[in-house]
Amino acid sequence: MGSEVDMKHFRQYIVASTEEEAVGLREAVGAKGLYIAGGTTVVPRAAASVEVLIDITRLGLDGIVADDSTVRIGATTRLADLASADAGNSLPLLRKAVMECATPLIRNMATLGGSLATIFLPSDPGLALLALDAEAEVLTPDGVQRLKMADLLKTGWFDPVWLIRRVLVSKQAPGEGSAFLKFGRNSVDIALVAVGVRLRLGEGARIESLRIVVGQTSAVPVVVDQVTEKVLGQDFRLELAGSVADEVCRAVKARNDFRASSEFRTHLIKVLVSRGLLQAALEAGYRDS
Amino acid sequence: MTVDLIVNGQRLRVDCRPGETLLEVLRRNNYKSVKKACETGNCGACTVLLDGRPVASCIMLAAQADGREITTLEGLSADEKLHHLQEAFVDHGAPQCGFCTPGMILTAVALLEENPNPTRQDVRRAIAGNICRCSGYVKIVDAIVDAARRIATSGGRH
Repeated sequence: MGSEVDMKHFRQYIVASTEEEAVGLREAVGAKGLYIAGGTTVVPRAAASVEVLIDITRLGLDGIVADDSTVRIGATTRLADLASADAGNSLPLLRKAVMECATPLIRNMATLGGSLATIFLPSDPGLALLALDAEAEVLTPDGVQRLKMADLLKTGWFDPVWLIRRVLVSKQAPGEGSAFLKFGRNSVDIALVAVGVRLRLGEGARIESLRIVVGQTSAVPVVVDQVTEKVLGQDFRLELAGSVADEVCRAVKARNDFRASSEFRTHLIKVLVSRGLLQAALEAGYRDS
Repeated sequence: MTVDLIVNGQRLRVDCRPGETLLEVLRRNNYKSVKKACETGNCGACTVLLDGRPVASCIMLAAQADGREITTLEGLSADEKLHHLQEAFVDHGAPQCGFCTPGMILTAVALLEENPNPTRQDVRRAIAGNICRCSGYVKIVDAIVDAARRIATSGGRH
């Protein structure tokens, strides 16, 4: 009946019919259980100790709803749908990250919530959401909570029992620009470095807000607010992009491994941050005079 | 567990283990066009259409496909008539060993459904998840672009 390698080790597949049921089950089985939506990480890569899968795809947690300022993205929304929906137009940074991610086949199954749960693996959409200062709405055993993702990064990320319900992101407005760049052989490979930039320029190219996130270069994505805060209020210019990139290199301890040295990764950070800043500035309306 | 699939328009009820992949279940039910290669979701040889969208069946559990519609290459040719895509692949010499071909064609079916007049760049982007080790892709892209033209002029898939 097929070789053993075809058979994954899961022993129970339960389709949850309510969110509370899903969380209750997940709590009850502990580390032996995992939520499954698209399954593109769970199926090939779940630990051997995982026996129970809790399917969360029939809970109505997919779908994108937008109002004038905010986009609410259901956690089980497929990445492919995110890239093509109108919401993708109002969230160009997220769409750029999704389109650089994996392959079309995987994007047809993988979900945004799954991208968040696997951010350490790494995840391009997760990086984009950090750069966008997104909020996540989760169902915990104690009820619904809303949390800033950047804060979650500081406290150990999502508790695996929590059911991620949706993500809330502010639409990109006029005067804002963004960039997502990653360096690797192709999108399926894990990048050596990935960079997300979100920028808002005011009168005279004055930097009103800036966030830079560097991923895939250390164990967790790094939000370098301590660097970007220093340039708020200054006018954007090319030389500034270079000096910010230098500061980001100093702030991020790039890993050294068989895929690349830390020196090479640091060089990549410098290049990608500089380019990303310029791309974002141009999108925000900056013109070199 | 019991899983109900709809494969090429036909109901298929299978008994399977929770850990069985959709790929395995399809192949043991004689849908041999669905190929087993990397088993990690990277190469696309296992591509099937799930509710019309190309997915990697090797990293999907059969349980995930319960109640869903699946299309394999076997479902493309009705009454022994080849689909325009199949004919175009033959005419252009697109298959070499042929192993990537079922997956390529299914991905192309979905592309042409969504974009009946794709550019070569559109085609390359769409097949980015289907690896061909033999050909260098040029004839595959030629065939898909030509099939789009044939479908448009004939008004149907055959």
